[in-house]
Amino acid sequence: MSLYKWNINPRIPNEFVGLSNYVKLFHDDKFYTALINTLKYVIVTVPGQMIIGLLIAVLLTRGLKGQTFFRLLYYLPVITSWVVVSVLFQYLFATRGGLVNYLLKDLLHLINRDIRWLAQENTAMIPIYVLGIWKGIGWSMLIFLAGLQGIPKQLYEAARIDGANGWMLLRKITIPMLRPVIAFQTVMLTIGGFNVFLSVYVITGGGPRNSTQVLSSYMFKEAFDYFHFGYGAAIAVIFFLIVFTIAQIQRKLFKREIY
Amino acid sequence: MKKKIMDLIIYTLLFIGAIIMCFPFYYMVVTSLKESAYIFTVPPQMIPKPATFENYKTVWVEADFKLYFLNSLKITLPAVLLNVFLSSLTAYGFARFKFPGKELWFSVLIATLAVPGLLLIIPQFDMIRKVPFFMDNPLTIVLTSGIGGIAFNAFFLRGFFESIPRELEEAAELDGCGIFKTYWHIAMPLARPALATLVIMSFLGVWDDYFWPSLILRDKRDWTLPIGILGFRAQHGVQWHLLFAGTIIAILPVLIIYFMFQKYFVKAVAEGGLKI
Repeated sequence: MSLYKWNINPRIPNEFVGLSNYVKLFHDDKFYTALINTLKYVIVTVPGQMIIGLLIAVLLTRGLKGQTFFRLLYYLPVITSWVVVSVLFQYLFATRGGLVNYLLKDLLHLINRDIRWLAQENTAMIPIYVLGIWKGIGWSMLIFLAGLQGIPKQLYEAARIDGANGWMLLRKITIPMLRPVIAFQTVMLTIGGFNVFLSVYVITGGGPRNSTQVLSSYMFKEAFDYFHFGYGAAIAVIFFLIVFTIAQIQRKLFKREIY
Repeated sequence: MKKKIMDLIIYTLLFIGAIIMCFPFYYMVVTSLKESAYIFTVPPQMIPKPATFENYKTVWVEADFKLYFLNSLKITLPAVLLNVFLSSLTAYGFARFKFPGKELWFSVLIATLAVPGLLLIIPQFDMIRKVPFFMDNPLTIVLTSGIGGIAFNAFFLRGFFESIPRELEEAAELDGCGIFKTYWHIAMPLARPALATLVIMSFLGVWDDYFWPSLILRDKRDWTLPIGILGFRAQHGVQWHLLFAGTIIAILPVLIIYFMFQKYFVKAVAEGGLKI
């Protein structure tokens, strides 16, 4: 399809245009914006989810009461539909009467004017990052919890006897022992991050002025708003190649840990 | 003493974390109970006064959420049954039978997982729209969702079927059970925990699906809840109190299932690394 000027009317034959969709793509500024936004989203949200997820998992394995309860609550955002939480975040980040502005301005006095989160090009991605991290923490936490259970307790006891403190335990035992889990999560979350779609589609619709467009939302817009099916398919092909390449590179880097 | 202080600090951290994770939900519930005059007040009301269930009634009856809810149910239930049935058949086949190229076929099946579903949507849509029967037909969603994800599910279930002692099935065969009967009466009941997990995953996937159904079901009378929510927002703008009554109706079944079956969830995620 990506080699054709695909016609929306099935009765009109599709015109073969060779690589011209791809040529157009490589000269399309909006495509580069979408690509950079997607990369930024991955770079911000993948470590964000994993660091917080790991911290919570470590806190939850200290044998305190009520762990199941906390785990249940932290996992709640993961199971809630993207459409619902996206609409919710749009409300939380509303300019007037939004909870975030109220918290920052009236409660904490960190800012003196309401921030127009979703209307400015340089702030519109922030709610999308926050949502991505908030929704993914629970999953990361649960995988880390499973990983932490596999670390023999004797290791910690031995290190304690040698005088190691909590921070050293985390750095010298927990994190090295969790390397396979970290590798697995990095690959999975990166692929997931590249596929970010509904949060952008619902919260900003790619705007203002395409500043929050990501690869998937741009593809959707070209294909289903403008009916440029051939061009949309070309975006999809390049998109796939990028994700595939990055996943392969990560796999190579982590090879030692996974197998 | 030192340990007690540590515990206290950890509890405090966990509580703060829990509040951050859950407060958006609380605020959604609060907003859905507010009257329209109170949704943009500064400072925002944290406890709705006066609280009203009127919003729920409005969206359920006037904004057609009753219809969307039933549509979602009518699509999700058969799709989940179909999905679990087909996945278990596939997995059982790979677990118990020898046929030429078995492992090759299985790796081809697994390889399809590497392609994100989002990217296939343009060609899939183009094929579907050429058959008018499939457009605006909820049956299309039942079938596509019923088939969707079989590769992953089969991968997930195959191990469970392989761990069932073969002797049980051989005994059943000696007693005159055919292949299908053995699968249905012996293997399926034994794989129940895994199947429960699958039912939940499949349910969440179909219930929350937006992108694909929104392309196929263009008629408002066929809309499912996710489409209905965004449709309502597009039409009525920022009537958050009503919108959130609608979203709560949409997530309620998911929450009930989650709290009822949470141990299966944890198992599924921890063992299978599932992203659900």
